[in-house]
Amino acid sequence: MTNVRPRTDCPRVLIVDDDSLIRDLVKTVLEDENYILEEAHDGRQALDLAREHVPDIVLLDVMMPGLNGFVVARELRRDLGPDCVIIMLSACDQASDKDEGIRAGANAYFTKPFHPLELLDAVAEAANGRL
Amino acid sequence: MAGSDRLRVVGPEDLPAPETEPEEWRLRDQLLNFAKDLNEVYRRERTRARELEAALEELQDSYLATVRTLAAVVEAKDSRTRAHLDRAHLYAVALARRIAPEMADDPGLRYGSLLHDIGKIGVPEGILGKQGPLTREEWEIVKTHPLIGGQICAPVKFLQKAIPLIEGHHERWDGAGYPRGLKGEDIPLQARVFAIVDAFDAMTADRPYRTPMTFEMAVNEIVRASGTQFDPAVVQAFSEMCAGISSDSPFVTELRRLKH
Repeated sequence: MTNVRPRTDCPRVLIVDDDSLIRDLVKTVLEDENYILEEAHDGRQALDLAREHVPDIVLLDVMMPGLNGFVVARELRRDLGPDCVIIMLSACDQASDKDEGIRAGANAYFTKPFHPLELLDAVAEAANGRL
Repeated sequence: MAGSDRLRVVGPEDLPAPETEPEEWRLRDQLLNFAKDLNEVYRRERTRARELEAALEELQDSYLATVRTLAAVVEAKDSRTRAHLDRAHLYAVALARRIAPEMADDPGLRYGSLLHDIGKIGVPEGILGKQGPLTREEWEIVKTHPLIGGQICAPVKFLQKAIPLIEGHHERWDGAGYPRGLKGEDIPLQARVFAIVDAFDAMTADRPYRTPMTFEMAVNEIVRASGTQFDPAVVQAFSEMCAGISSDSPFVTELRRLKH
């Protein structure tokens, strides 16, 4: 597939987590007329959605039933090229997990419980092309 | 109403319990409220930051406009022109960037280079515009202009940064300058930088009574005065900068625009 990313003024943010509370929290925190927010409840749906509407930023959980976040990150990176910013949100705070996330193509790795302000800043920076 | 328990209408509470307890749902709603408020606070903060940034920029513009107005007061009295000030400032910033990038962005350098001769408003016009050599007394009066400039700027907080350059721009590396006769690194760096670009522009500028020196001749003159009039390290940076300037660089284009 071709990886032409439409550079709209509103960055498209894809939130991927199997926990609906986390999705709702992240959505609520990021709610802004400047973002287009989409959500997926597992890795398969995330990949399907990302192929349909190429996201600018993906917030990606690691431990999910089915495809885990590392697999999804690798596939997204392969499908979407280097422009898409992938931020992993994981309950695993081992350095090795972080390394694996970065190897899988993540631009940033946050551990849960995450700090909403840090996430907001990271997304804002990603939207400005600085992450 | 003892029998009502058996006869009551079936309602939503009779449906199988959801996966999460009601307690947990309240907690979830509470969390979402926190998230909503956080979102709102973050937006307000960002709006404020943008407003502050715009206000700061406007303030800095007014500072510069004020400084330019002050500088225009000296132009009215002295033969050197606005173009000289703009060129000197351009050279000073370029040279400062080579030596220490943070100095190039220091408002002290910018304001100082525009205001370096502000103290000349304290020197009688008869002396400033005099044809022929000055008497010893007249010369002593001219030599007070850096300190008068410092006194003019001292009460204004944002101009205080310019004082080291204003007071020091006629000092010499060998200590033979004025007004204080400071020597070597006792002379503020901004003043050591500006002294070179000021002399350079004076040599290359058009004057009614003489033809200007060529770029190369003026650079040679500066190099010749290294260690006597000027800081050798700054001269070194200056000559490197001049050697690296090609005639079609934006810097030279800007200089041409300023010549008139």
